[in-house]
Amino acid sequence: MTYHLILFAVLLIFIMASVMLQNLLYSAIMLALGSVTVSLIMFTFSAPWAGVFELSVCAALLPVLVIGTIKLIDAGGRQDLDEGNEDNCGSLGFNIQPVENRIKFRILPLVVSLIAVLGWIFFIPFFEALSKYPYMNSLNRDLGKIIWAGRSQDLIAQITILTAIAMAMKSILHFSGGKNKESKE
Amino acid sequence: MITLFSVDWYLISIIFFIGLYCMLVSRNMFKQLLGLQIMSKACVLAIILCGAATNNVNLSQAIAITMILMEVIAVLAGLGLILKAWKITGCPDLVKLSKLKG
Repeated sequence: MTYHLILFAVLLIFIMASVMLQNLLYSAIMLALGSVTVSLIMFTFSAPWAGVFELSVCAALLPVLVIGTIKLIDAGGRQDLDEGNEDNCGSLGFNIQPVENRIKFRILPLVVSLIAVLGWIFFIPFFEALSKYPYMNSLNRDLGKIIWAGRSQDLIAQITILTAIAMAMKSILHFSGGKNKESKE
Repeated sequence: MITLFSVDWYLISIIFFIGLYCMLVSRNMFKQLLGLQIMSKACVLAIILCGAATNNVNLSQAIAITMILMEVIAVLAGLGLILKAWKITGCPDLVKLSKLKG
């Protein structure tokens, strides 16, 4: 139990750091560390497959993509700076992001502690009442049977959504390079 | 006597609130995506916790895997939209999006 609560405390620290940090790169790294902690919590709940999936996707794949996008935008910002377009963003260079009031992020520990105190008073009795509900004990089938036999229609829907998102990304990131070349000529 | 189930739900609700707060106060689109990811992590943890509490871990694992997949898809689409918005406005700022014409 102690190990479990320590993991939750570490997760809270990582997530608050990822929200409060100004540098987007450090925020993405902190979120990846938070994903690692989430996967460890899943292991303590005896859910190893979900933990491995979380570790491989959310802690490895997503930070790479987010950091790649940040660096891409950062490179564009540096190009803007070289060309003299300084009015695009507030802080150019590595922290390319809009100018905003940092106090909103700095007061996050205060807000979270306030919510924690209020939640301890109001949420805990509600959750205690929820925990007294009767449990279903006889439905714990194998994960393979649940995924392949019980949720095969879900799998078809997931493949459809993946195809749809591939099409959507193609349409979102479609830049009209050919037309510009023709117009320049 | 407070059970571990209640304490876990309490901590998960705090994590969800942090993600919600991040999405509410930030103008940066990357921070919006970050808040979405934090909220999604809280929901995945809640699903796993429910499965562990009802002795149905395998079903909750299957749903959690689906949800992680959906999270990845949402974040990828969001990153594509951020790139497109940056191409148009020059900055990943939500306020600048309201000044679009045409």
